[in-house]
Amino acid sequence: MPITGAVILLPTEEPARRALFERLERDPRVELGIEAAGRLALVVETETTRECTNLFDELSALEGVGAVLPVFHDFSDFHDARDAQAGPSDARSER
Amino acid sequence: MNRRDLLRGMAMSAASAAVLGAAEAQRNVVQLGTSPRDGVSWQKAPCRFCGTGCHVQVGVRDRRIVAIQGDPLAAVNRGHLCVKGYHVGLAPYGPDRLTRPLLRRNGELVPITWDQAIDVIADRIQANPAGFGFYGSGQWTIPEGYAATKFVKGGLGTNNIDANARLCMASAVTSFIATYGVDEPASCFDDFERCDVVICWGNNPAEMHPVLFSRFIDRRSRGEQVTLIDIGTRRTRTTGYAQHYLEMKPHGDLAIALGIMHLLIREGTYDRNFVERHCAFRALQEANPTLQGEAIDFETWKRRVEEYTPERVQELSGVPAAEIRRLAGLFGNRDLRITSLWCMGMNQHTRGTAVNNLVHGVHLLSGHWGREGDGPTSLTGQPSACGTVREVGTLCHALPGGGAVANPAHRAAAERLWSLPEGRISDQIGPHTMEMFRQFGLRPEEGGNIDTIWVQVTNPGQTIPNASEYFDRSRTIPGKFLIVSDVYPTLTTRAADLVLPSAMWVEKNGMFGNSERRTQQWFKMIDPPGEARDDCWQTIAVARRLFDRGHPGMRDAEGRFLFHTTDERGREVPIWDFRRYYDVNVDERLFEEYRGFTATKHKNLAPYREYVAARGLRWPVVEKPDGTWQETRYRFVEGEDPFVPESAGFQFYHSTSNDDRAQIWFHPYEPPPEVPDTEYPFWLCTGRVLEHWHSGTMTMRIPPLRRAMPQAYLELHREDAPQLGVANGDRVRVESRRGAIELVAWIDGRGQPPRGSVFVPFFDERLRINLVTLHEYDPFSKQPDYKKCAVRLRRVGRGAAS
Repeated sequence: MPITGAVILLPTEEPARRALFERLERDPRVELGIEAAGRLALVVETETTRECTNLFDELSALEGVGAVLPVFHDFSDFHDARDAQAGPSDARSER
Repeated sequence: MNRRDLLRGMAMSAASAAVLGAAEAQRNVVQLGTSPRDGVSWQKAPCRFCGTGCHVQVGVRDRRIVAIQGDPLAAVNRGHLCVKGYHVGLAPYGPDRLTRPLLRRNGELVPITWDQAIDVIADRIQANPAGFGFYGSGQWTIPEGYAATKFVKGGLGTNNIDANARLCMASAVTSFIATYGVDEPASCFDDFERCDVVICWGNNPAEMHPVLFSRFIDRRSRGEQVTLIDIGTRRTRTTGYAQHYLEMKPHGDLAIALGIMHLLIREGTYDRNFVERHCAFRALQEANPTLQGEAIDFETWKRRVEEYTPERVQELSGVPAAEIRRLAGLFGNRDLRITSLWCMGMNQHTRGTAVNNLVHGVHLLSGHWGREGDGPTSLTGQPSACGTVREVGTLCHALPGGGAVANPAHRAAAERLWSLPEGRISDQIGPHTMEMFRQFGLRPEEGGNIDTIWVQVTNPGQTIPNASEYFDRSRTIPGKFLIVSDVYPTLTTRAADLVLPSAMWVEKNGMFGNSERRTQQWFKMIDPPGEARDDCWQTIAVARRLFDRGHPGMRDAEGRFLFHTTDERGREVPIWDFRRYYDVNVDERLFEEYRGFTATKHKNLAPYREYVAARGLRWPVVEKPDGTWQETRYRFVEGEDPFVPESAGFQFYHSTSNDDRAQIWFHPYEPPPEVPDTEYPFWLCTGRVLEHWHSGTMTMRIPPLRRAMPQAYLELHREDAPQLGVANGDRVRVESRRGAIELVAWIDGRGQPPRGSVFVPFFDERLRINLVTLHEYDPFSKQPDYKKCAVRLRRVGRGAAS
């Protein structure tokens, strides 16, 4: 499953901050990290990369959120899936 | 710890580093090199996509990219990525990479060997050297562009080379030259941390340069007050962050800038001291105008801006007079720091040079120039539009380092540096992009002198405006031969006679130069698929084939091969043989040679090794007495620019008036060349979207990005739609005097054009909007206007939503 590290530029208004944190804390895919200078670190683990970008789109649209900026993306599963689809000989043929 | 836990730890470490800033990043960053824990090797590279120049760290295992991290040590992005950068590691892995050379025989593209392909190109060039054109892009790496330029200008002795940057920032180039005597921004991205006001002139950085834009939004998240003013012809994502949105009519930007100047003079709020010490005034000649223009005095200049009262500007631009007064009030306040940003909106403009000049003029006249956060900054869309096209000079009029083929001293210097016989470099400016493709689409008897074009790293079949006229027509004329080097099938490769499979991004060594003069370097990390090979090698291999056949241009004055390269013992390395290409670092050799050109226009570069160690350096880069190399943030500014002497304050040392002054231009308002009428009643604007990069050849092959934005669409206003009988999702025919396509309507979508105006993105090859767009271009930059032409709309089918 893709693992993504990201930074959220936080809302400056307290109600919006609270709503954002409530949203994040109830999402089992999200692990929260440190917060400093209006930014919050988090890690997201999702079934697909698309699911992750959908989550970021949703968070970006929350009131007061400045931006959600990905910083780390592991997608080794992508190759595993492609190899499985192609079969063992095809997977190596282009390398 | 299992691999999953390890990855989660790395992801959190990267996020923490980005939150805490550079100092913490030093401790938390993934260390470059191979991790013993999971066998992933990490190396740095600039992102493949836009001109921001974000750095990423690329994780490679088993010769495949498995992870991407924003580089927290990179000053540009500080670890952050946008949605395209987040997916950049997937860009090489589309399912249909080109892996073999293909030659069209009996209408079909059939595999041939590289040796045969090189022969075919050499045959075409030898048959008619003057009819050969090389067409590249701002995605050429610096060494690739340099090799192409040297091949054409130093080898073939023509100037038949241009690049797609002609289509995206040529108007910025001509304006920098007309204003300061030398190309490229004097300011830099540090402005984002210091400005009080950002003015976006027809610019949508929230989608097109999102990481850069986030630096400004980040300040707001920290509670700082920064005002954003969005001047545009449609509401975009950027508008959503703006305190003030000024909706203008197409070409209204010319009037707005003139209106600000008018008020600065009328109110006496211009910076008299700055203007008297550092500026001169200029306008076009009435007959046979040139980019140089003619000097005029301040009183004459003032008389010319007199007519641009706020009320007159409102009439011309559609922006209320009160907003013009607000803008002039901001510029009249020297306590503020104002950053102007622009990109395609001002450049893809039939008066692009003029509007660029006027915005520079607003900053110069008001003294909002040369301080952190206080100046005009143009952005570019491609990763090396600046580093390669503008600095190396892969343009029909240019020579490396800012030289010009029309300048005898520059030609002589280039011949000296390239060890060429005197007179090898032609003084005849070659065909610019639009002219090259126009000639390619004409028979010889019609003046179609270009019969062969070699395209590298770009997709003109999709991006040339008025494409049926300027691209498709050539495909019907016998004897016209199109060679295309690319990584994926495109509209251009499908139309080609010869297709060459290329290596991309970290499949090869490379160097880019971003929009703030930052030169960046990376090493090859993975192998290209199949028989795909470096573009630079392709150029050198063709040069060598011509050399072997006795082409005199491929020899220097001493009879050596034009790209003669030796090992440390002085023995020639046959870099034209791909098996030996990486025996030496060809990039380093070419870059070190290119450095010899860069002092001409004070664009000095450091040795290659300095870029290996750095996350980019902004030129001019000069060596300090202690042997270290110092980059430059602000040009022409005392204390920042090493070429400005003490006590000068500012010095425009390439001044076109030869007196160290910048030029404040007057250009009149002029209407667009094609405006809506009863037959074609709508404005059409085209552009990009967040998820896709330019013609979509890479991002449309990244599944999450393709799913996020699967096809092009037509944005139109909610009040126009019912009058046309159009609902969301309906199919609509968009037709201009040049062509038509059918698109799905999107009302109240991401962008919101005003009534009477529509927008279509150009990333989708299946829906080629450039069949519709206008080929008219700026008289100086030769850059066409993709932002405004007249179209009509007709519903042709009901959508699922109706």
